[in-house]
Amino acid sequence: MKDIDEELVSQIKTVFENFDDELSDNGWAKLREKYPEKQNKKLPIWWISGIAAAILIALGLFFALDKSAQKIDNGQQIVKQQPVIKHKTDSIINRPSIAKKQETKPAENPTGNTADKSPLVAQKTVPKASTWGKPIVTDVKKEIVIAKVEQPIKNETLTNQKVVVVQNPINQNAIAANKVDTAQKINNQNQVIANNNGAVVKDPVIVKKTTEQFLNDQSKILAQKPKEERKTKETKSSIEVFSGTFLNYYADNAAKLNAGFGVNANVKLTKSLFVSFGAGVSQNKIEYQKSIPSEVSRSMSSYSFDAANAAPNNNPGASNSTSISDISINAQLLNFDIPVSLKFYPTKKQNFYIATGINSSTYLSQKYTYGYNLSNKNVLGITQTAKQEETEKSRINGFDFATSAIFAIGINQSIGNNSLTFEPYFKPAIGNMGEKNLRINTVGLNLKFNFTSNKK
Amino acid sequence: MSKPQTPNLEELIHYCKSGDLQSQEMLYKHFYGYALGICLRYLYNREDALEAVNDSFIKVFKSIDSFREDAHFKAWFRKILVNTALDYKRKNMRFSQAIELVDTEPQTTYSSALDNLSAKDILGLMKNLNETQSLVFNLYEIDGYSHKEIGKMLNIPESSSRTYLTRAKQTLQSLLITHSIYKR
Repeated sequence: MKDIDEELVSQIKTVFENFDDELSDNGWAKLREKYPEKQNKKLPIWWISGIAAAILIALGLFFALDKSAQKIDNGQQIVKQQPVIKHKTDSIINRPSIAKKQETKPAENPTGNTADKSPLVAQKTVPKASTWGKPIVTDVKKEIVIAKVEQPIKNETLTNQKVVVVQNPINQNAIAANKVDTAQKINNQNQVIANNNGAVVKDPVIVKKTTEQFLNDQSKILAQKPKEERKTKETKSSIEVFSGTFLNYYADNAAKLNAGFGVNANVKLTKSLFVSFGAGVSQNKIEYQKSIPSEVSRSMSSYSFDAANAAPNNNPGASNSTSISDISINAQLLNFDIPVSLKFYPTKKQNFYIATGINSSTYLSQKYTYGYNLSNKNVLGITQTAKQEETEKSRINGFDFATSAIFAIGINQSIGNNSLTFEPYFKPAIGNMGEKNLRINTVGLNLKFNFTSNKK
Repeated sequence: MSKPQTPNLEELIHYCKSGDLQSQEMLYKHFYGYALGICLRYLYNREDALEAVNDSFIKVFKSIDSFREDAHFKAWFRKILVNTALDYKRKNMRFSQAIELVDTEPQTTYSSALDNLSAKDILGLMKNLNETQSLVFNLYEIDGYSHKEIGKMLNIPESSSRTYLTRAKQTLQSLLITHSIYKR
């Protein structure tokens, strides 16, 4: 049987090692479809990227320019129509040459026309071309001075604006046809009928506002905007998640670093006053070594009493005295906190607040380690000292209302429609905490992420 | 170094390293038959085998820089071919299984005695084996992989590889005897 295998394997090797279907040219042609791939694949990607970028830039420029052009259109609607007027009047007059106008200082109208009393009325001397081709100043034309419209026109600003327009029925009709209401208003306000009935062309002259006028206008516009912005920044009812680190301490005992997290709801009471309530989980460790609160030592006294009674007495005949010293209490609580506080936003911007309230707690777990030195002095005056430690644990037990007061300051930092709040706080103990009536003061910093803090 | 008109393998590899397309074509055509033979043993189908061959050559051209010129090119290339063929088989497993339902009918007529078996005869014989038996037979007997290596490549225990090989041999022997290809 071994021969058959060897022979077969040998035959297979011979056949396939020297295999050739003589189609290597076709095979190479097929390979070239895939290889080399650098030229085939990378180039189009660059081209596509380049084309896409070019289109984006072109579109961006188009829209940007189009927008600015529209702004200009809106601002200078009246001014734009003037070439039409000029053309019409030119054709009406049909003179061989257009007289060059000469602007003169405002002068009193000898006719005592109402137009003369208007501060917007100016007088011009218009040279006329004579039939001999020489310019002759024939009469003085009165012109209505109306707004140069750089900003959207407003009644109170228009009185100061100074675009000189031909006092001409055609001109007025053209303005009316273009539905420039504000210009019409000005015309109504400044109904000036010039003495001259002839349709004489006057090129409108745009007179810029003085800096003072411009600034006045701008300040009026700006004065309106903040009201709108203030509205948008007003905080409404919201939800916030927070996490924080804090130090627990009591008197001159060592401070312990702890952490917690939770969620709060802020409900709007008035524009600047909110009630905030929520729930959180926090770890609270504290160690009393130097100063033990009386409430805690009373709660722990059963330990020391038991310890003193349980002190070893190896010599029954001798009289012993037992004492306890170097007491320390180490507490570890996992609190479920329920803070309730009032938040007051003193500024209209509502970018910071002052909060005060109370915190109540229930306990997911409690662990107390009570350590002390037990000294036993025998009749010979020899003192034996032994370090003792007792531990007590409990789970989900008790509820303490108003264990601590809350005093906090929150500083809001907007992130889009939401905001991030840095809230340093101080929580002095106003009640006892846990089974052993702990007293814990806390200082810490909460980082709060506030959802939907602003109105849109 | 100017390129000789009929370079030897070492020179060919050298020029391929520099990305010379003409040298790559020469290398391709030189090893085309050898590569197609190996891939055919695993894939049975010429079109599939050619795909695997071309993919293997592309791998060679891309990684030829890492090939040490003192090493045995054929052995290195063989490994690439076998791995590429196995990958191709795995990738197209569903498809090939679907084909097999129609196409796996064992070949029962062979044109000649053992030492005259053609490539087509051998492939016909191999089709009588199941997929794994065929792979193990090829890998172990023809391409010289150990059972340990085969176990890793096919993701099967080493002992299973031995069993598949034994069964493959038994099947082939019985086929050869039944069809009087091999006479005792």
